Amino acid sequence: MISEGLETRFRVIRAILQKDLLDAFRDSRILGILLAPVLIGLLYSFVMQDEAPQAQAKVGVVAASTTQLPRAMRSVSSDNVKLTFREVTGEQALRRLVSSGDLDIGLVVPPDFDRRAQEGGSPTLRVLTTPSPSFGGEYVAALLERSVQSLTGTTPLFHMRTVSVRGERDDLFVMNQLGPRRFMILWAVVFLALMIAVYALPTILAEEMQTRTLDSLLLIASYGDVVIAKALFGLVSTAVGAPLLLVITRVEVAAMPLFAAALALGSLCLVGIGLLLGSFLSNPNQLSTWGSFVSLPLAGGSIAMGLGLPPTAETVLLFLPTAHLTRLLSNTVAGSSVYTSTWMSWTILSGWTVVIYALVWWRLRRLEL
Amino acid sequence: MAHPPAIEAHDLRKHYGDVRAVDGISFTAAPGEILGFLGHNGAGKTTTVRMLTGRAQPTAGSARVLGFDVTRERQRLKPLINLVFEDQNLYQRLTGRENLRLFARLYGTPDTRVDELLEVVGLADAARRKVKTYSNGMKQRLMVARGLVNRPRVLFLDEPTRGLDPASAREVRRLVRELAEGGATVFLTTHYMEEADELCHRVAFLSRGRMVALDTPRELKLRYGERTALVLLTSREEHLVKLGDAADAARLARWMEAGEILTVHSREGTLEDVFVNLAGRPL
Repeated sequence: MISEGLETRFRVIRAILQKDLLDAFRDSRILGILLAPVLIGLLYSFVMQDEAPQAQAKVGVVAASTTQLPRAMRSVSSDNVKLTFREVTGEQALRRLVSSGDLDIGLVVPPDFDRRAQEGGSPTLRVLTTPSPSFGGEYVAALLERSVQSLTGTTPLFHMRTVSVRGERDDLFVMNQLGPRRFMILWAVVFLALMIAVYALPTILAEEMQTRTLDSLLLIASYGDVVIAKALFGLVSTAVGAPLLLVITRVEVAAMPLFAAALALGSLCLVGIGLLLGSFLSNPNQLSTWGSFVSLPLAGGSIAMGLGLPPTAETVLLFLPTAHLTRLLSNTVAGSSVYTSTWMSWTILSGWTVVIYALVWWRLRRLEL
Repeated sequence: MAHPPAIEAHDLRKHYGDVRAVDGISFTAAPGEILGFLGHNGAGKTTTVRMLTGRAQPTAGSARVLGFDVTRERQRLKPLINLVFEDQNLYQRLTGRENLRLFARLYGTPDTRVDELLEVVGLADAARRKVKTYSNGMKQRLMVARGLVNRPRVLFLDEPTRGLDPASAREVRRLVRELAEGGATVFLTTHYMEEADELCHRVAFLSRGRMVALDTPRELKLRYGERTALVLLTSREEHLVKLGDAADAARLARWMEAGEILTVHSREGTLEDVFVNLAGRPL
């Protein structure tokens, strides 16, 4: 009896999904919504480069006396990395600047460091970095030994004591690590999922309400079946569109299973938002007003992740699911933690999904008998 | 043994705030019966259909269709009934065949039923055309075909011939009659008195959410309509006489005695007359 009921529901959902896909393919509005992000991704692919602009590292120095260390560092550094030094008064101030992300790394140079290193006196150099240092921070840390060697002319004898300060900001150079082209194509993937969820889905749902075709479906299907079919339409469209976008723009994904999992979770969350939005609309025209209220912050939150915003702005944007979807997708494409606190992104995205579907369920209960 | 009723409603009510859309109606419909529901806009016809098809919950009262409670057992009821809506709510970008195939799949009916129905409603040649290119009559015939896709045991028809040309309306009425002859119960809401008179075994009149009469069209006309006769005299004058009126009876007797009567045509009241008598205004 239960399996028969499930079989019936599966049949009903599949029939509605097939109809939605066929109908959407013939609807110029939906085709436009689906094609726009793909075309944007293609545009970025042509006009942007994979190579990042010259990388840079901002170094803060607290020095009790004049030291030649910055000069030595510049002499051994690659031409591709721009080193910027900033003199800071006191270790407390240096900690704050490293913690806030204004500096990639901080150096506390003790008195007579240069002389003692040259004499083989093993001075201690304190290095301040965040637990997940930026590219600039890692680069400078790796450069220190060669720099001191350049300063002393021999294999240096010095202690490097690394002090970890709590980071408030992630790496601002995500575009440097991913490359502008890859980041913008990733953004186009998020934008595609967003457009499908927030425009295509509510358009279909609202049109079903306006033309009362929904009433005909509800003669045999439940409202829940219709909503599941619409949600699957969103997920299937994203599952087809996103890989297509990556293939035609030749963006390779380093961790494909995680990429797929992040995209599935993010798309599920956005589809929930679209379903909720659609359930309040009585005709597709209302979407042109309300859709932008939802889509603009979500799209903005995604693209802002690559821009390196001030910490306060970034904290606000980190409430948005698209921000975390972008972070997760960036990490999986790069194959490394371009963004730190991956667990936080998974948690927040999952939390959003649970809350949104609880609201969809609540709304469904009101729309059912 | 008598068949149990296909539709049973007992003191059915639907209130929207202070508005009593349906205000305590009770009736039954037998298998194979065509039951007509007539009334003004807002009389409660469509709300009754919504409750009987499980799409609106009654505020009070109960209804069973094919023995299933329309609220508690609507999932079991759904595959056995169907509805032809007043609005032509078809998928305009899909073809006629695709529209029917969707509903055949929803009901788990084989695709062969689609071709069969397209033949029945005369749309086989237009099956591959998108519905948005169909005429009003073609769309309505497709609506009827959709209503038949699951071979329903109870079919609800909400104004099925509204806006149709006479030929298309006749075709739809033929389909409805054939369905009832096959044993299905048809619940018909309509504004057209002639249609109800021609098709329905029984007719119910609704006014302000209440059922004011329910009987066969003939009984309703006899009970509530005026019995008259049109008398043509040798002088070519026509006179309408009321058969139950003593003065008219005397006039008639005088004309007969004088041999002045050329023809007499008895006229029973129409459903329209009945409705005006009961509801106080025409449809």
